[in-house]
Amino acid sequence: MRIIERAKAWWAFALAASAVPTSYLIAMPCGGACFGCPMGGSCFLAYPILVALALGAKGLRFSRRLVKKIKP
Amino acid sequence: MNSIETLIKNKWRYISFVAGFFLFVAPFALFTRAVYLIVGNTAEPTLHSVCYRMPIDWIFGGRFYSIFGSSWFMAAFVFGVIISSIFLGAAFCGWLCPVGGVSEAISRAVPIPNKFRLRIRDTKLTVSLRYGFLVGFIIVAALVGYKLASDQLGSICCRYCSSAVLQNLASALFGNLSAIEYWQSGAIMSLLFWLVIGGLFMSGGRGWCLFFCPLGAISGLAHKAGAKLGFYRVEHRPEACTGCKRCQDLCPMWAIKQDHNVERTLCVNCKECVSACKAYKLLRGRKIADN
Repeated sequence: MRIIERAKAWWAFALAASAVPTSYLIAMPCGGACFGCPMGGSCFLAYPILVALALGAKGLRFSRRLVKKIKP
Repeated sequence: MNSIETLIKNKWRYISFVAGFFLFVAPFALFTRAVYLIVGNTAEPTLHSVCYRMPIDWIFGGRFYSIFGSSWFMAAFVFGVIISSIFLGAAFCGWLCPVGGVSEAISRAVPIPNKFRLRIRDTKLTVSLRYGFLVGFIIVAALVGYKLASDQLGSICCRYCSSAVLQNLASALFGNLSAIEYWQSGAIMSLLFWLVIGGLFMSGGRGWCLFFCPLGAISGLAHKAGAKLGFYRVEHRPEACTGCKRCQDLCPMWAIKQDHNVERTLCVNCKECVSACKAYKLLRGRKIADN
């Protein structure tokens, strides 16, 4: 269990450490001008979509717990 | 405890945030203005004059000499905040920082139920993400500083800068409309993550501080070192704990672990847990909470 927890923490660390350079390099073609990149400004949509997915997952968990409570 | 109760119990902290705004953000920038007056600097001070991130970017980007140049005040301010964190905890983040203060205030003021807000309960995961992002910041600073990557977008700290966004919004509010060129993709993404996602849709409203502020992350390390040496810290007393977990909901930095102990690298010394619950106590010296 401890090993899994540690692996999870190291995975999160590696993911975060690589996300910053990646996002910086991905943004390079746009040169700071929005919608000027090959992705057509989709980075703006990426954040809200990620948050919506996370909130959706949270809501799903919440409703599952609610259903379990209602069940006799 | 509702928002009004929290506001009343921690009134000095919220008053301090307002003071922080007037001390560091232009057109007021009273603290910077006073220092500039003393040293005879004629420049117009803004929040950028005490940039939290540029000296860190310079150091890891191989431009050590910049901290001794004309921007010495900026470097002195950043190192002052880090050193003070050893003795007082990350008090600047928790009490004065206008960037964290604005996003936290917006989060407290807008009544979105907690079930619609994100929160990571596992503090180890939060710490991993926080320091992962710090390492990413250092990698980009080094890549750009040592010319291993194109500097087309400028340094990492200027491209994604919540302080600059706040300064531009404040300037616009007080009649000096920002240049339209400022609102490039990096600025809009910073605004989106700092105020909307990190502020409104993250529990406590400090998403930016938690994950993207290098000064906050380094101050957290300084606080942890200081607490180990016996300086200022918050301790949990299990014998007074009822296990209600209200402290976990109140902590804006998600610093309360599942066993109710405080994760020092995340704690900003806001004392919300101390004012809400008898199980938390401020300590100085090497004694432990049970004594």
